Amino acid sequence: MSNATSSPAAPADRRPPRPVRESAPPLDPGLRRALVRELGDDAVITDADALTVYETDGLTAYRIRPRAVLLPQHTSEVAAAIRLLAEAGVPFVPRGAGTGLSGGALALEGAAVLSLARMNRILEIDADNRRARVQPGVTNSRLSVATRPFGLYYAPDPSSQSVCTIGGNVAENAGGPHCLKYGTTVNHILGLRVVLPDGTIVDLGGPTDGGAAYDLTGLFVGSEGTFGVATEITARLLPLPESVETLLAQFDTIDGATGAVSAIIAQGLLPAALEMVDREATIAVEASVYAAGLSTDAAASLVIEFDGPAAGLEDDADRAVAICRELGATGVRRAADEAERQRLWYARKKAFGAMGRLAPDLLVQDAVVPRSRLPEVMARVYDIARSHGLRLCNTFHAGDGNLHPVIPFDRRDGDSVRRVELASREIVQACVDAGGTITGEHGVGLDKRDYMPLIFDDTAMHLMCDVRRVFDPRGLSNPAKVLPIRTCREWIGPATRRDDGDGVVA
Amino acid sequence: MIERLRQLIGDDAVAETDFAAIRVHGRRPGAIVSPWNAEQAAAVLRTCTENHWRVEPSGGGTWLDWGRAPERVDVLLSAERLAGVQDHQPADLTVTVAAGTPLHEIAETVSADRQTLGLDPAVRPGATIGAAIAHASAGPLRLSMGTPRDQVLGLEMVTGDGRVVNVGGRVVKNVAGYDLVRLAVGSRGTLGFITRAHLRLRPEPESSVTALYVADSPDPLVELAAGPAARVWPAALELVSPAVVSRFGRDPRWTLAVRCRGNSRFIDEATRRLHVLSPDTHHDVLDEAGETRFWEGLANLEARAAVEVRLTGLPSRLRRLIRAGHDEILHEGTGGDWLVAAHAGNGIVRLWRTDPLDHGRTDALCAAIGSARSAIETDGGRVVAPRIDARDGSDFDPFGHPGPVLELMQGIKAAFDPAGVLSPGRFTV
Repeated sequence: MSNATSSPAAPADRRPPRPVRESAPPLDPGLRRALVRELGDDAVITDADALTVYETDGLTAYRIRPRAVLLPQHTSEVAAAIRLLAEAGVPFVPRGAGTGLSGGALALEGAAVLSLARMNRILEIDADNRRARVQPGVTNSRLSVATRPFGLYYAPDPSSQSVCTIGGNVAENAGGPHCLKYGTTVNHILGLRVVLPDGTIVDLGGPTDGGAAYDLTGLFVGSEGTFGVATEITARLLPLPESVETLLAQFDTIDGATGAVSAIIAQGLLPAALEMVDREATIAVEASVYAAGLSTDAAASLVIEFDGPAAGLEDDADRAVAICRELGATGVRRAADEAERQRLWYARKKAFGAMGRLAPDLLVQDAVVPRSRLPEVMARVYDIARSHGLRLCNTFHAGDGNLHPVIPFDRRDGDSVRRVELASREIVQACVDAGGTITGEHGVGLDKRDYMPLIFDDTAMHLMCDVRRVFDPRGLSNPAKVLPIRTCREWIGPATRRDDGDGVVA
Repeated sequence: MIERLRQLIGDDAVAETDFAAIRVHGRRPGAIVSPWNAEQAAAVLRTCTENHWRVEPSGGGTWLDWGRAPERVDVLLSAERLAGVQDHQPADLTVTVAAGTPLHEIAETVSADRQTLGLDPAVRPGATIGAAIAHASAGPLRLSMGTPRDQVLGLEMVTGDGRVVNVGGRVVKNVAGYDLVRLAVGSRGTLGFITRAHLRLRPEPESSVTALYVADSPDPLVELAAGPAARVWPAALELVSPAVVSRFGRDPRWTLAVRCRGNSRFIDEATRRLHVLSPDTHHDVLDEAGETRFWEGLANLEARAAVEVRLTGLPSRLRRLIRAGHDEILHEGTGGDWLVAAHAGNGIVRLWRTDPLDHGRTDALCAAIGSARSAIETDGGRVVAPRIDARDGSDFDPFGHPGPVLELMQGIKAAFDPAGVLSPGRFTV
């Protein structure tokens, strides 16, 4: 089910697969043998039961059985596998931990899954130059744990960081609460080794920023696995902050909380993180194992964190406390020690997991609005949910206007599905109307593919089709993701019009 | 051609350059076209594509002599009429500006709300944001504030074949679609003509302090930069040669400038630490006026570069980079009066001179860069000569070969500029 099946008149290619177990035709035996020769017998999975785990990613409403799952261990194996698949015309889908929230790891169009789970080594930590070279299957939090003894850490911290992989983070340009101050994944990737969809291995970026090439690293980050597979990632590390101050402020009204968010930024403070959790989300958290003692009376709570040099940090925190009180905070709590700080963060980061108890399925959105429009957009979002008779929880990155409205529902209830889809589209439209975008960190994937025309006109999307064709002329790398299918099919770009036999195939 | 262009966008937007002083590497443009808006720029580029007229984008005309000399310039496409801060949203820390807006104008506008772009490249007066974005230019504050790659949220640009396209967005977090903004930043005008930019701002730090440390050779200062100085949370770390500081009337010795920025309590503590950073080294904690003089002086000096060479590499290889630049490339035969400065925390060394070189010395410089190049590249570094007036017909490559990514770059270039009218032959693609 999806956001796009709300209209019965939706054209066929706009409707994503239905939630039944579809099976692609089995892998050709010759191809299977060749893959086994290259990767080893235990690295080629075609048994139906074993494939079940790979049918879905973080958005469990979508299920599609892949044709096969491959588990390479080296760049050379990735290249060999991709070359074999390309020869046979079989598309592939790179997959990290499968925690993505946009259906990016779904094996559409009879694709085989290329799992990077076995490529999980940290290859090098260069503390002098504050960088680390890792394989894509390394877990996000594991990297920071490994660099900690050097006084360094990897800043992008998606809520799923204890499970999600750096490779997946690169594909989606993942964010997290601390990207308010430190930026998203793209600000922390210095270089990539990439296997292109024809099996060519190429290095992008690298230790030098000589200004002699286009920023292909920046382009690749966030390309959602549609340009090939990154098999080695050079990540930027930051020195661990000297000190941290974490606050929890609770408010009687949503407006008070969103007003405080705006005021904190407008007054020149730049917290490392500025998160909001509403009453519905708080109730879910406090009823779960992640309870942190948040009051469920408050309409909204803010988790505000400052980090940096110890000198002056308390001043920033004091000012934030004062601002919250001025805007009507009913209580402000400062984490007294690291344990309490962890508890507060756990409550925020595990909120999504806690909400999983509320209903069999969850709709999660990822729209971004300008911070200053938060109060009005939030009011609108609650209205929309109410008007469709739906429950709504919000736990999100208020500091950079990145909303995560969560609507629990049951996909077996057709009427509920219909209402959720309508609400979803209205929410996204409201955010776009306020000057925002459709996805701040989860990616477009399959889930938001049909919202792309809300923010990009044909000219922009056609240009994206052309850029994609430069990397993947045959459309084998994670097909049918990011761009609406019809858009690229209909467009014959200037590069493909040139008749000089350079072999770019539409 | 001039008639055609005038018909398209009006007489007053198209000027002939018989008497104008504008030259691109000594080439006189056939016409200077200054559209009033993106649609006009699109009409012009569409026509240029149809006729294969070669186009050089221009902002304030301060960066025209970058890279290789063009074979010819039919149209200089100027952003001078696309100027002005259009929308400053202090509560969102964003600002929308037309591409032809001078950098200083943006800085003045946002500082009224105590905000800053965080961009301090060494630029000539009149330098525009469009050019700074096209060349991904940054200054000493890149250590703490990043570069245009981190600061541009969205762009309106016109492709080589005249399509107006909006890439990116206006919000600080956005992963929708492919990051064409990052492609455009640093593309030096070869992918399109930038007409508008949405930029990310930061709060302006309350206070600042700079300390200068001196030595007779760069080596102890490289150590200082990598060690104790890195631990005071510096906003900028500049290592400059004796020739640079003597232009400021200071003792001609190698000098490391350590700058910290933040709230007043942090600056008090930072100042205390700077005083005891390196007990064996003579040092100077500058007063406010002295601090401004130093940083502005350095920027102005670098802005007047007639010839420039840049070495980049890992910060831990800084000593090697300085040696390669100062001792090997600038050896006898290339003339005196060279200035050297390094962004010590970023592994970037700049060599420049404010007086041009004659042909003989330019040849010697090109040869020296050529010989040093492969050793530096083996070491993981790169040498580029963004500003150099190589002899016509010389095979000197200002940027060096980009490597296997060239094919990808060519594909991307073809997607944006199918007829190849935008700055052909001047960059690596």
